Amino acid sequence: MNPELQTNFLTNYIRSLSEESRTEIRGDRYGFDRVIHELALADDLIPVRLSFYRQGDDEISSPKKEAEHGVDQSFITRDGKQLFVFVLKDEVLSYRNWIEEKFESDLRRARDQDLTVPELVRVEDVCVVLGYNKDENEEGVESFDKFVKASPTKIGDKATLRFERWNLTTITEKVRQKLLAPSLLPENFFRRFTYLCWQVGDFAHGSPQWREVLIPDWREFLSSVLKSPVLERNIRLISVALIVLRSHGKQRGDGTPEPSFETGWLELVEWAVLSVWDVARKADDKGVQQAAMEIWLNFYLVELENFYTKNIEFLATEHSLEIGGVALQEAASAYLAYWHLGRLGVFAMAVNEFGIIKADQSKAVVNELQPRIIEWIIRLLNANPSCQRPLLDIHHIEIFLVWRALMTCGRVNDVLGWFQTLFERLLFRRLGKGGCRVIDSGNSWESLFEYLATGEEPHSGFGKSSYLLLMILELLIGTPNQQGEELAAVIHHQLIQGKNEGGPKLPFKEQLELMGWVPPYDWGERILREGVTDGICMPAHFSGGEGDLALPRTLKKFIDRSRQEYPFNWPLGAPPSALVLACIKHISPLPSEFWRAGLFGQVLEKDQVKVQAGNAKA
Amino acid sequence: MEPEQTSLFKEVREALSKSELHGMTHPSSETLLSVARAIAGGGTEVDELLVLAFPEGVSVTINFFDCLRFVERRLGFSEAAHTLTGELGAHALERLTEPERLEVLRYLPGKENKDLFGSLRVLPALIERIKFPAEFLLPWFLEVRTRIGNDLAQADYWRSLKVWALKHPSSAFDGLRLLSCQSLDDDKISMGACLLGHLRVVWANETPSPDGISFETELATHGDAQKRLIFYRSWINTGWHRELSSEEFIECLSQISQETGEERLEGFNFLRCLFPAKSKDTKILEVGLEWLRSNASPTLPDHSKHWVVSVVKSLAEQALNDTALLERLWPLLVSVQPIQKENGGTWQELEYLLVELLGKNPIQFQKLLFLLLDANPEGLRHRFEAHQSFDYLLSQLAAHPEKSFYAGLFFSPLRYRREFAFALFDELPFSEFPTGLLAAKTDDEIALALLEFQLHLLQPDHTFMFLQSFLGRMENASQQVVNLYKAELLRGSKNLHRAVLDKLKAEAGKSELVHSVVTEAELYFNNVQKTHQTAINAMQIPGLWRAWSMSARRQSKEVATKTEELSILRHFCNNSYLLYGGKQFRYVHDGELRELSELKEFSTSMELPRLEMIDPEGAAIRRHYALKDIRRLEMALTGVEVPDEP
Repeated sequence: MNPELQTNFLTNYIRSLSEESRTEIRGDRYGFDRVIHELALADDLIPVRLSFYRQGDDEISSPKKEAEHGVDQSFITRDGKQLFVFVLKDEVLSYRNWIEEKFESDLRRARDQDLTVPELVRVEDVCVVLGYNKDENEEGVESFDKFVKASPTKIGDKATLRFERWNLTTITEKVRQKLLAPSLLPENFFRRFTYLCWQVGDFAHGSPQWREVLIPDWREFLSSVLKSPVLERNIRLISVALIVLRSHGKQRGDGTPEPSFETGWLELVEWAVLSVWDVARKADDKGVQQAAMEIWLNFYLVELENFYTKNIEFLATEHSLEIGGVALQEAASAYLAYWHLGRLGVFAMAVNEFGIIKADQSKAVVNELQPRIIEWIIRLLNANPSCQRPLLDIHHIEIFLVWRALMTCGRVNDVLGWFQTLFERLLFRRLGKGGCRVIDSGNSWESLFEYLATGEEPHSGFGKSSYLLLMILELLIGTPNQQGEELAAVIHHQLIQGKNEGGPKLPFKEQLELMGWVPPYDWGERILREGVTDGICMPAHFSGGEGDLALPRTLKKFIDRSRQEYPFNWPLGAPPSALVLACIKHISPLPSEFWRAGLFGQVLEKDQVKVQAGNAKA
Repeated sequence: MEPEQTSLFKEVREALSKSELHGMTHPSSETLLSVARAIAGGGTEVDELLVLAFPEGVSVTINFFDCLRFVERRLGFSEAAHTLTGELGAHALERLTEPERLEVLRYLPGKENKDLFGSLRVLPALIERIKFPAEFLLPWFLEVRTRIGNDLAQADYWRSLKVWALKHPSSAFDGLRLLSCQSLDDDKISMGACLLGHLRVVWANETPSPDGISFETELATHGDAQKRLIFYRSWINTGWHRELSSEEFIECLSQISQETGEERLEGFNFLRCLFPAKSKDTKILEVGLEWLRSNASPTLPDHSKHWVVSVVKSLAEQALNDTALLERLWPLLVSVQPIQKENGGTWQELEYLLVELLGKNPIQFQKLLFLLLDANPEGLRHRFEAHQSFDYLLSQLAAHPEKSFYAGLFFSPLRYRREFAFALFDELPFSEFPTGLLAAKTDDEIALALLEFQLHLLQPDHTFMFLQSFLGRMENASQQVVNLYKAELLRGSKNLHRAVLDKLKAEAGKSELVHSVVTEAELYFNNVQKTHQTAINAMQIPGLWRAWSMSARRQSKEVATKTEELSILRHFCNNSYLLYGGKQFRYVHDGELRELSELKEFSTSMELPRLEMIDPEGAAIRRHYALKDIRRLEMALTGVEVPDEP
């Protein structure tokens, strides 16, 4: 991860903390007193005085209510010769706060240490540290300097006295150097997060342990951090947790990072951003939304950019996704290909959205980035034939994303060429002449691999229904080019109906039925946290032969009628690209409005058929 | 008795007296036959021998046949031993009353008889010596026939029928009449034919039978075709017993020719059995060949086709250097095509014929092979490609000095010829085309062969041999053909690293074209190597490992099953699935330890074509477009348009 961005996220997190941790009615407050405590422990110092009572596992420490409030924490070295006294403030160091927020009085009390007590008799050096997790102004710094100059340099005869000032930057830097560990997080997450750090250090991305232990634990952790009420610091805490996780990623025997963790890390970030958007889209707090957008843009998208910048030459290498071994290679490489197409597609979509909403200088960044991503996608498509091999119906999402990316750059001919290739390959597959014959509508890799290994179809409906092909037909008839409609007609005629001009019917093993889908009314409420596959299924049959316009006409009619009858409620507060990412992560179909809105325009309210509540709920 | 005979009997007595089989020496065949003849002539020593053969007396149980088997084992299990055993069996039966004899015979086809074929060996002697009533013997013979089923070891059964007809003609004639009253199937027709064929000989030579002649005429003109078939087929038995005259032969064939339905097919059987032996007779040869020419056709049933092939093979083997005759025979083989590819027996006849020709008349071998190819390309290709099929021919071809005899087929505008060439190349590869062949081919023909190559997955080593053999021709080829060749060479290198690229490297210095292909392919592999286990492909994939292990288990089971099916060893020994240990084993039999043996590990590996697995749909599409180009070239070469496949 980019060190600057890492520092930035750490800074924002530390800045968002209170002076001390405590449980309040409106939720847990996390203090940076714990950060200071953990930094001292990281320096092998022994606590002499703490500002809080340590509690058991999973509980936040409770602050002490003592008169000597100025001295928050003190620590002593193991040889007993050095004493560090911390005065902590969650305020800006300014001239005004110097008095009002008791900077001076607390420092004065901290300076007056009694070194005659038994545990301090060997102390030879006292260092008073003013720590504050906010910024400062010149007057504030000047006040501190004056105070230091006015203070004695010794306590009694034996111990020297000196002062240090740890501002937000200093604390952040010390954290970055010494504290990228679970202890950076509030103590109520420490145990669970320690276990997560151990898991990312041990499990390979995609392994059964990763999928069945780590990801559920990670999602549970995210839920507990983001439980209501959600404040900005909860969101910031997620980014810090990610940074710490990153530093614990699985390594090879020689200490270098395990390659699988690179993609594993992206997956962890993805679950995090989905959880963050799920709470942020409903939050009134602008700080929360701002933090969510930051983690989306500066964390996830930047990480995607870093990953693909670093790896694009590999991805663009011919047959680079063909992992070793021969059996089942076609499916294994398709898994990888669609994994990358999905991420690049979401990236392209997110960047495109960002370009639309931002009109300042970041537009230039977008203008430079967008063609680069398209080029990456095209290079990936060209280098790896597995990109042309959708094996699960859910791959319609990745196909949509590639289509969208190419269309936003006006590459209509490339889109048509790609769909032509997809069509030819699907036709040969359906004919049993090469590759996996079907697209599995069950969307299960396990079932598909089992089928490829044994030849036994997992269920009677295997490969007999397709939302993916209906989407391709819709995309084609919406293409601003006559060739799109023509190709749609050919695909429908040959691939769906099995007709063969001038010859016998194509010998497909099974009949294929197109399936439309209307998502449930609360799709937008649910998709960021769970898979949504309920709603209304619409088996769709169209007449029309190759080369005539019957198919475009009837298909458009179907689109118009279904849009009028079942208007889609666009969820607000989260970028559409995040919603698409959610569909990928939850293996959940993408509502057709995602492409229809762009191709066929928004449905006007007057055109919508009033749907009864009962119907809508159904 | 002569002293000499006395000593022979003594020898047989001693053999029968021994209780331990292990290590005993058997009396010679001459001894056994002499003794058999002596007791057949009424020698008195038979009583003594019967006591030894049946120590507990002649039993009216299955024990009767068990005793005979015991005798046979002690006498040495030879033709002579069978004869003497049969004589002893017949004498033993003679000691019994008729009901007891019939009771003993009833045990022969029974379930309790565990050695039916051993019992059949003594049957001719029993039938010869003792006259059984036809009412008993006919149904009994039918029962024995049912018990024999499809087993081919049935010669003694038919010999017994023959003996019945020759030694007891009146009883056999009664049996034949009884049989002809029944509903007839092919087995009964053959039994009837066997009886009639031999009765005819007896009636003609020894015991004239007006009733018999009349019955025969009745059969020949009977309204029931099955009855007529007894008559036709009986001539085969007669012909086997004594040679048919030319007139008889021609007359019989002529009578069969008057039939129209399935009965006419009996002519193929007649010719199969009698024609080869009579073919020296020019008249018969002409009549027989003409009959075959007129009647052989692709619509014949499989067994009739088999008989045609069988006749032709027998005739050809008698005249391997008679080109004129051979060239009259080949059209007969062509006319019964297609022979179904699963009819292994018929194909085996053809295979043996081809082997004979290969050794004695290579020109006719090639001629016949190509004729068969044109007549039945699919069947012939299948036989060359299928496992354990045409292995004999292939082994002979492999040892033959001229292996590239089919090289010209690669450039044929006929697709099935090219396909056959590739099928044969995978079995009999050659590293160089015959001198001047490639130079004589046009660029279109070369392109046709290269495009056809795209449609066939040759074995890895053969892929290299094929491509390499074209290298020299590229010096004179058009740029278009060179590009096509280069693309194939590059794809082959990417597809088969060990089999093609590694071998091609050795050639890189000799040719700029090869050098550029090697450079490009090595760059490709270097690049792929760099991506191994990088972040883009290191993640684990859900379900993949489980599917791999399922796939491996399945494959392992299939290999084990196939190995067991194809292993010759399985006929001689059992499989043992060793449990513990793992490096050595030692069989224990009846408490005795056999020798300690080391386990040996065998493994074999073959390079698989990578690109077929990386991009199976792409490979299929490539073949599809290659086929389109092939059609275009075929049309350019022949002027005939070939329709596209769907």
